[in-house]
Amino acid sequence: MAMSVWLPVGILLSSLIPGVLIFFQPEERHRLRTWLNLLGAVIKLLLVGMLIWGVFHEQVFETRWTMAPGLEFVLHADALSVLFVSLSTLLWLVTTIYAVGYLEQTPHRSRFFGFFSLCVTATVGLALAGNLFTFVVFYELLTLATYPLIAHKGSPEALRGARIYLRYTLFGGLLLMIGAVWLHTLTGGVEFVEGGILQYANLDQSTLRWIFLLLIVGLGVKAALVPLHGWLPQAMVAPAPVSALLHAVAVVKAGAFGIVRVIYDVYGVEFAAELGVLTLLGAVAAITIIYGSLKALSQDHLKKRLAYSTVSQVSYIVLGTAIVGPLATIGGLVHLVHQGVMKITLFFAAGNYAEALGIHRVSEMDGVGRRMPGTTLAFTIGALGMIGIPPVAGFISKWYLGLGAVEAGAAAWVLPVLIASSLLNAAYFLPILYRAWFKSQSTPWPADKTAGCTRELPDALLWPPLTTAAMALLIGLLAAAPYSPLEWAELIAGREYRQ
Amino acid sequence: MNNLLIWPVAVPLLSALLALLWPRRSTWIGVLGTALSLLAVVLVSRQVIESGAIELALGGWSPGLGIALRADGLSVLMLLMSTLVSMAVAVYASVYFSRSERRSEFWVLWLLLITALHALFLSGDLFNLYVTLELLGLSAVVLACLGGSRESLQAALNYLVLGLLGSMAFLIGVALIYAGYGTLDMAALAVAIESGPTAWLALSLMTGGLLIKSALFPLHFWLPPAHSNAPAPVSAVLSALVVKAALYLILRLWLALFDEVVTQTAALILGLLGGIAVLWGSWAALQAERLKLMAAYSTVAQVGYLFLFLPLLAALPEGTTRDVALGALVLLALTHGFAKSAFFLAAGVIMQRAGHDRIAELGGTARALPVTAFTLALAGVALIGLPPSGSFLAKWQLLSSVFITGQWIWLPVIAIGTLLAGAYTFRLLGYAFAPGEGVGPSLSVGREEIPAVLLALVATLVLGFWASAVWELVPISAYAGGEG
Amino acid sequence: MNALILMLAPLIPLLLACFAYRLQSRWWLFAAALPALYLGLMGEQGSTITLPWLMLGMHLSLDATAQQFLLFGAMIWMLASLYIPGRDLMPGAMGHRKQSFLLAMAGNLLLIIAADMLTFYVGFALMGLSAYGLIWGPSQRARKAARVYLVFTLIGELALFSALLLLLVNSQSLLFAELHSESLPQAAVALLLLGFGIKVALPGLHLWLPGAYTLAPIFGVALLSGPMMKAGLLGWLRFLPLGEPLDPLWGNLLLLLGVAGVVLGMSVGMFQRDPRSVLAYSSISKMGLFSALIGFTLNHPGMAAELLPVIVLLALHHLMVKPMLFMGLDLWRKEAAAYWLLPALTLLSLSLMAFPLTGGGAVKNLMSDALNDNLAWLLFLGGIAAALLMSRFLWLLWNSKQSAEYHRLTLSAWLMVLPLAVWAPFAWDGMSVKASALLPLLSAAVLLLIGQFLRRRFDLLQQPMLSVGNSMSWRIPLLAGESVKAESDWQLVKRFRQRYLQGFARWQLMGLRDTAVWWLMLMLLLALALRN
Repeated sequence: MAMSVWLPVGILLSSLIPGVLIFFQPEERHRLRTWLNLLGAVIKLLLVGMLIWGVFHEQVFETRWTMAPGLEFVLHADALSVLFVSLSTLLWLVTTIYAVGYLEQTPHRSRFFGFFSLCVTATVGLALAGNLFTFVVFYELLTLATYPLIAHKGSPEALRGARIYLRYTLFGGLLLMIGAVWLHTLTGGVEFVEGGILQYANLDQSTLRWIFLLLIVGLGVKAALVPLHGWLPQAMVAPAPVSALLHAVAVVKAGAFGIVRVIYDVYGVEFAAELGVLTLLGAVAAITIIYGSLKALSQDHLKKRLAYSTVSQVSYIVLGTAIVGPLATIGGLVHLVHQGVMKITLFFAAGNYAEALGIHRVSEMDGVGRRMPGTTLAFTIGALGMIGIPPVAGFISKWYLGLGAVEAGAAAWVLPVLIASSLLNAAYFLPILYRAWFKSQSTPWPADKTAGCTRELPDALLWPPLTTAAMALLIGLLAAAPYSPLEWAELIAGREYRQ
Repeated sequence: MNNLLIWPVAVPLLSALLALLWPRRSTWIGVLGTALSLLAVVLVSRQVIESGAIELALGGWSPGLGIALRADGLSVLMLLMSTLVSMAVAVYASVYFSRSERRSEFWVLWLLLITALHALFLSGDLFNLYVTLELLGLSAVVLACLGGSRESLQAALNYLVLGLLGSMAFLIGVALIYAGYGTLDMAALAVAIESGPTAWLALSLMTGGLLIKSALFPLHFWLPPAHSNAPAPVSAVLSALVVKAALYLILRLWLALFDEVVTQTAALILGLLGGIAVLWGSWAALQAERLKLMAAYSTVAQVGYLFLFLPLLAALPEGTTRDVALGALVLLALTHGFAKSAFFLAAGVIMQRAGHDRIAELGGTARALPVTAFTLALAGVALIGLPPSGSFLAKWQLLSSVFITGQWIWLPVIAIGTLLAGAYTFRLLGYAFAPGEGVGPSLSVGREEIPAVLLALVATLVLGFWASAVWELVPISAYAGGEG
Repeated sequence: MNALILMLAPLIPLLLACFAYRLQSRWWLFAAALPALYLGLMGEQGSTITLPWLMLGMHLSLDATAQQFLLFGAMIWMLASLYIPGRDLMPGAMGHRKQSFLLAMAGNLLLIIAADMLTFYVGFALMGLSAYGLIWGPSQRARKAARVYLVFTLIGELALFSALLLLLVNSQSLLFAELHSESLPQAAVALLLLGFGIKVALPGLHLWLPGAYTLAPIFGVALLSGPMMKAGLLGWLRFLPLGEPLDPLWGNLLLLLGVAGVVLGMSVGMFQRDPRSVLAYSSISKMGLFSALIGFTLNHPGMAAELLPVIVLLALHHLMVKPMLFMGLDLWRKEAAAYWLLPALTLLSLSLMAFPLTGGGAVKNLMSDALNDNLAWLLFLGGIAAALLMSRFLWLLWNSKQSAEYHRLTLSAWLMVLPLAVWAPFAWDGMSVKASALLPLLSAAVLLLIGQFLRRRFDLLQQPMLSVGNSMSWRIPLLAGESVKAESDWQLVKRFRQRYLQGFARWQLMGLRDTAVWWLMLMLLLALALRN
């Protein structure tokens, strides 16, 4: 019994405690810091493994703590949270290793890794949040924990990016909070329940629509829905591991995850459709998908191109959520994981290019495939996945989204969006691959730091992208295998539509 | 057991006398006195939590004639805050003033200030309240001009004049009450006071006096110069505690004594002023070029938030929802107290290290003084009202009350205020995290940095996660006509 | 065991692709197709394997069609692997040729043995995209050709993807066996036509083909024109509800497009100056014929059972012959235009023309039997097209003589496969000879003569044809294999317009004799068309 209470807390603490301890470590204690980090990550992984097993067997994991009258801090693990928790935990481990390699010999590492762990704590908390209040708490904490990471370099651009990020997210957080309080006042507490709760609450529909708008705009800022996406391309000034985590797991996903939560576990997807709010959301998602891809086309800066790609890709999740029907739900949910794994690969690779050769722009990438084959292989798999080429994971998401659209009778507008976006994805990813593999080096590398080395990169930099690329490939290939993200998404969809 | 109540007042008073007699050891006496009063407060609080409100008639005289001390939930909370803050500030001040010639003066005044604060929070009758208020004001003024600079003297003078004006108004109000009802004991008055000319005249006079002291817009002009020019420990106490004392009194008057008299319109006016204070104070803080000035303007804004609660409290029916809102108000006040004192102490550290507190030149703070930068960040989180600080919970309940009462007008105020608070906090943090040499070379964690960070942690973590205690304490009231 | 080998067929090339950068011998690539060859020769029909955990569940099975495709496909893959130049096999080489080759092979073999739509799609996509690396070359024009190919392939794949979704939701199953045509969404059929039509190079969707065929390295072209192109056809066979009633609109559309393809291939191909381009347009023409046949089958579900095997056979024959021609052309150039190669190439061409006693002729007989005298005009038209194009090809061949290095391996391998390519269909048809099969050839000969006459008369094509024989300026770029100017349709049309306008002035002066010739030609065409 105690287990079911302590497990969610333990999962939070396994990154919080190392994070706090790391803050107090002097800069030089590199080894201890790394061990702390890895220890936390591994413990968290083990705990999450227990959680997965338990949730699969319908065990209840719940921790409650009254913070104020009517305001309970609830950590609750359901299938949806497990999906997100396991994604963040796994990618945190990989990113930590990468970050250790990436930040070697740079200042302020204690601060960096401290906030890094806090960021993951907030993300995991977000995933485990059992009610809207707790969600808001972690949503804001996430903002706070990421700000120093974006500003980490301290350069004027970094500070500017962080400032813009903050401007957007504080605004979004505020709206989310207002919406949450409003809903809370009307219902007296908003627990996340599979299938939603509001359809039974008998409340004024137009009020609920307004609240929905507030919540979605609040969450949409982090999910980078157009026109709330402005911070994301600016935030790419952060160090590569941060961007990787930001785009794959932490911030952007938090928004998308929140939208999923609100629609499925607060409103209930059928009720939301009844309110007529999903059409609007779907339209926004569609616009975002296309707009992000179009903007990505014209970016020469590699990380910026990836950032706009994120804008576009994350809206797949929203799109899947906005279409009523289990298949679309599966598509949206599974993309939560798939996009994370693929995008983190791309950012790792982008970081490696910058780290090893000083390459920041697409136009500098001619012939990089020959120089850095491992990294470029990882990048290739990630990019192909983003386009939706089978058997990489992205294809599975697109497949289910398309199926869901056809099933829901929305094929007429969703399929064109999917196709246009795939073509655009191809149009901005394939030229990169082309330059990397097929062209030969035309100009000297901007800053060749690995000249004369026999190996492409240190292990800590090379293996994380390769690992995540392999993951992207495997979760696509083994999509139908037990405990795959797809199976899990099917489990969730099954529970959401059970009623 | 009720004799316990005397100690929170007596301990600092006796220590003040000792410090006066033995100036060479004043630092020790000061810190020790503060620590002992902390102990006394903790004992009192335990008593209150265990057995409800307690009362003590000094000298054995019955209430109405003698000096009555009462402790209920609200006063215990305020006491706890003030004693914890003053403990931390005392530790900080022991370093800050360790080389100052005015060391002994500071400690005597400091202990007097604590005495006055504790007495104010424990007083059970109006005249005593006036006396403690006057004592508090005077000691605060003298402390404020310890900085010795021309600006600080000028500011302290303004503070003095305005403070006297406020006290005078309060005294007239008290006199009117005595003339009207023949008693000054608050428990008796809470039952006796009815709506009538005497009552509302007295209430407006007393409130008017207190508004000056709590620096509600537009009576706040004295506050920023006074608070920003005082020595850092003094600013911390002024902003965190002294302002709250006036607010505490307003709460007592409006909710317990004059709850029959208070009208929705009056509350709305105060609320409106509070709203303007939120916006104006935050905006001014955003424009401020100096760290301490920014903190002072932020105090103006935070006081505004507290006044926003009044119209909501007036509109809510007595009962749980109102208690929740009241608890939120108290929690906000407490969080602000801890956060703002932490902020000022951190500002003091920076000022001592850098020799200035110009925000734009603070580059490198995060590297040279990581703990202090962290303190600023934590305090900033509490000021904005982000989780996990106590003010987040308070703001949540504030918004909740707005939705319950349907007073939508406050919604944009709160929203914009929060965003502005975020803007000024992160503007500061942006400079602090930027590279630069604005602050001296990197040193190890100094003793003076610790109290500040502890205060900030209380504001952001303790008050966030253990805030439900506030809501448990607030309904324990010593006054029959009181809150719930 | 058989099921295991079924899995190995695509798996081995896939695994080898992972280590392609280490493979320094072409025999690895050669060996990668061995399991497929084994399956084609000795695989047990009906063996299936289901991998429920792989992607969304993969189903592989070996039916008769698949076996034939595997057999012939594997041979071409193996043969083509020998044509990969040595520098692409060097350890320091970028290696994308090897990877592309192996991946495309894996995709191709996978789609052949796929028993469900998704597996087919995966193989199809893998093949289509990897083929980019087979087309790509360092020259500007080759890069452009590869890019155009890629764009078309992507569009095709996305169309297919959408079609798949619609089909899946309609029949609630991914298996081909459980596809049903009731309430089949019209959009799905349209998307299928589009998706595979690009691979099959229906007119309008063929724009990628001439560039890719003329500029890709020889093994790439061989594969594109053989196994890969036929994959599109196989797609139609698998996906379309052949044998079940369907809106006649689609059958007619396909028929129309097919005929247009035949005509387009013929008319544009005839005026190409590069033998490779001629072969390319011949592919368009041939595939047009197949498409038309499929369209016809769609409209006549009753005849599907008889027609389909023959269509498959026809396709397989082309699958063999066309790559052989391309590779033969390469040999021709490399072997210094050895005269003894010419008969071999002629033989292949004749087979493609469906000359009696060749495989092509045999299949054609089968086809006319299966068609039961329907559509004879189409077969006739196809025959003319093939005959014209092949004559043109041989003519160009004759006029281009090169000298270069000597490759024993590729040559002997090519020669070994040659008889198979030409006569393989006899396994299905005896040595029956029909005189009528010669009719298209004869008419083509007549047409050629007339054409020659016209050419002389109008000086219409004189310039290029002369230059073929005489000028070195044409040969050198051909040797380099790069900057050959493959003319796009539009350029051709433009050239024609210019010529025509020049000729027009003379047309005014045209005498009675010319008019009579034109009239006669028309009569002949009409008579032939009305022969039934």
